[in-house]
Parts: sequence; C-alpha cells; structure tokens
Amino acid sequence: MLRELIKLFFIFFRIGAFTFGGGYAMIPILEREFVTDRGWITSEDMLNYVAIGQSTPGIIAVNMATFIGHRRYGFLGALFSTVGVITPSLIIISIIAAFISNFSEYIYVQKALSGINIAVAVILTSAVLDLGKKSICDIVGLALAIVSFVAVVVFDVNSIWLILFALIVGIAVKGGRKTK
Amino acid sequence: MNILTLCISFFLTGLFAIGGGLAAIPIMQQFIVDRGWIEPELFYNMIAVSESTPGPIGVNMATYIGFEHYGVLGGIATTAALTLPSFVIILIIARSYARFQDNPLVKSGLYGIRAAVCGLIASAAYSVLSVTVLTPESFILAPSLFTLFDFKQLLIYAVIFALYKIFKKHPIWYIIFGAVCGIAFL
Repeated sequence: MLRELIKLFFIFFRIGAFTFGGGYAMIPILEREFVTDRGWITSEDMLNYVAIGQSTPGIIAVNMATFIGHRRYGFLGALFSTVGVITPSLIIISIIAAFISNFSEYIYVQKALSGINIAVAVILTSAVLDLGKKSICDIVGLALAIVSFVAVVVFDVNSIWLILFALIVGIAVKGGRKTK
Repeated sequence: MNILTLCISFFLTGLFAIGGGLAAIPIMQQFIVDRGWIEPELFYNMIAVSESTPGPIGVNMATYIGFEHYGVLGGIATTAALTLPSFVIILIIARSYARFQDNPLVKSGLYGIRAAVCGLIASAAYSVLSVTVLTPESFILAPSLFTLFDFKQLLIYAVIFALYKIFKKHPIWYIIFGAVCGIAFL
C-alpha cells in the first residue's frame, strides 16, 4: 500500500511540476494520466470533478488531486496526491525566494515561457475538441458551452455563476429523467 | 502579526476563493496585501513569477510570503493553511460522490455542467491563444487576417499541434519541447 501511495505522490508531483498556465491546463494532463493511461476514472468523472472543483472553494489543482487520490486509495490517497501536487511549487518558489531576484525578468525565462504557452495552447485547444465531442451530446449542451465561453471571454463572468446556470438548465431540460 | 495570523489569512483565502486561481488574487489582496504582509509592488511581481513557474498561483504566493517572513517552515505552514479548506471540503464531497452520481436529478444537473465546463476550458484555451498566436490588440486597430496572427508563433503552434496529434505522447513532452522552441526561436 505504501508503495502505491508513494507512486501516487510522484505522479502528482510530476503533474504539479509541469502545470503552467492555471488549473485548466492541468485537465489534459490528468486526462492522459488517469483516463487514457491508467483507466482509474472516466472523462465524465473528470469533468464532474472539474465542475465540483470550480463551484467549491479552493485551488482547482488541489481539488482534483484530492478527488482522484480519494477515489483510488481513500483518505491516504487524497493526502499523498495533494501533497504531491503542491510540493514542486513549494520547492521552486522557496529556491526563487531564497536565491533569485527578478526571476521573471530573465530573458531566457521569458523565451522559454512564451514557448511553453504555445504548447499549452495546443494542449488546451486539443482538449476542447476531445472533451467537447465526449460531453456535448445535443444542441442544449452546445448552447451551454457557447454561452459559458462568451460569458467568460467577453463579459468576465465568474465561472461559479455559469456552473449554477448550467445545473439549472440541465435539470430543467432532462427534468431528472434517466439519461444514458 | 505572527505566523498564526498569517496562516489564518491564507486559510481564509483558501476558504473564500471560488472558481480557480485568478479568483484568489482579489481575496489575497484583501487578506494579505491590505494587511501589510507584502508590498503591493512585490505582490504584482510575484503574480508574474507565478505565471512563469509551474503550479497554482495561490500555492506559489503562500510559499513565497511564508518563506520571506518565517523561512522554509513558514512556507510549508502557509501552503498547508491555504490548501486545508479545499482538501477537507473535497474529501467530504468525494465520500458522497459515489452515492449521488447515479441520482437522476444529479445526473441531469451534471449533464448541463459538463457542457458548461467545456466552454470554460475553451475560454482558458482562448486566453492562452490571445497571448501567443493571436494578436487581438493589433487586430482591433486594423482588422485583417495579417494583423490577427503572430505568424512566427502560429508556425510553432502548427508544428506542435501536428506532433501532438501524430505521436500522441504525454502532454509534458510537448511542454518541454515548447520551452526549447521558445529559447531557440522566440
């Protein structure tokens, strides 16, 4: 058991070390690790976790780590994966705070970051296409996705309102009937 | 002002920041900057540092401020305080998730929510596109196909996209490759 927990710690450590550009950028990496490679959860579960993470307090990366770790190995799983995902930041920022001033002004840091951002853009656009195919199954879903996109990009609406709205629309449309 | 009040401030940040990293910034402003734990200028500087290092912005900020005031253990303590609320809340939800996920009402709600989440991920994709491949500022000044794109970045985007689709390797490899391209060409 301890072996699996340590492995879980390092999986999340690696994810924490490579998540640039905010919580959403983590989703394709999580999809790859836990849906495609390991089959621990489904894409549907993952989007549900994201939705729950977005509508409850706290950091999305921590929410996802806690959820997936708990799903796999209960409380200890949640603990090891959460500590795993935040440890890289802890180490990197401590080093920067101790030794490096003006870190983000170094030219090579800026260049590397511009390149990383392009890679993140690729990964995210590809995730939108994949997840969209899997989770938007009708015109109502498509409308909800478009409304959410426009509301955030154009009107800067906090995502919690969109999730609440989608929840209400979902219940109104499906009316609690059995869905596939 | 001592380490306990600093931890409580980060605990409150963790408790009230709903909706991801950027939602934490105004809350940290209120609990951390306005209470004098960090100079406003340094706070904005740290946002830039957080954007150039991996990991959640809240964790980066907690570690930095904790470290500056109380060393390594301070950084660990503030980070733990920040993450504790999410951890506990999600544990509680995760325990009942299996029981509720098949409830028809919950299923209908989640059907709607998953679609909205796709829209939210698309907005994240747009925001990173708009600082790389797309140049919305120059497009607004002179709308045309040539002012909409940064062609050098568009080319790198197309190459990485093609490699991603062809080889289907772990996303981390493309992030490393992106960093290399950035250093070599940008």
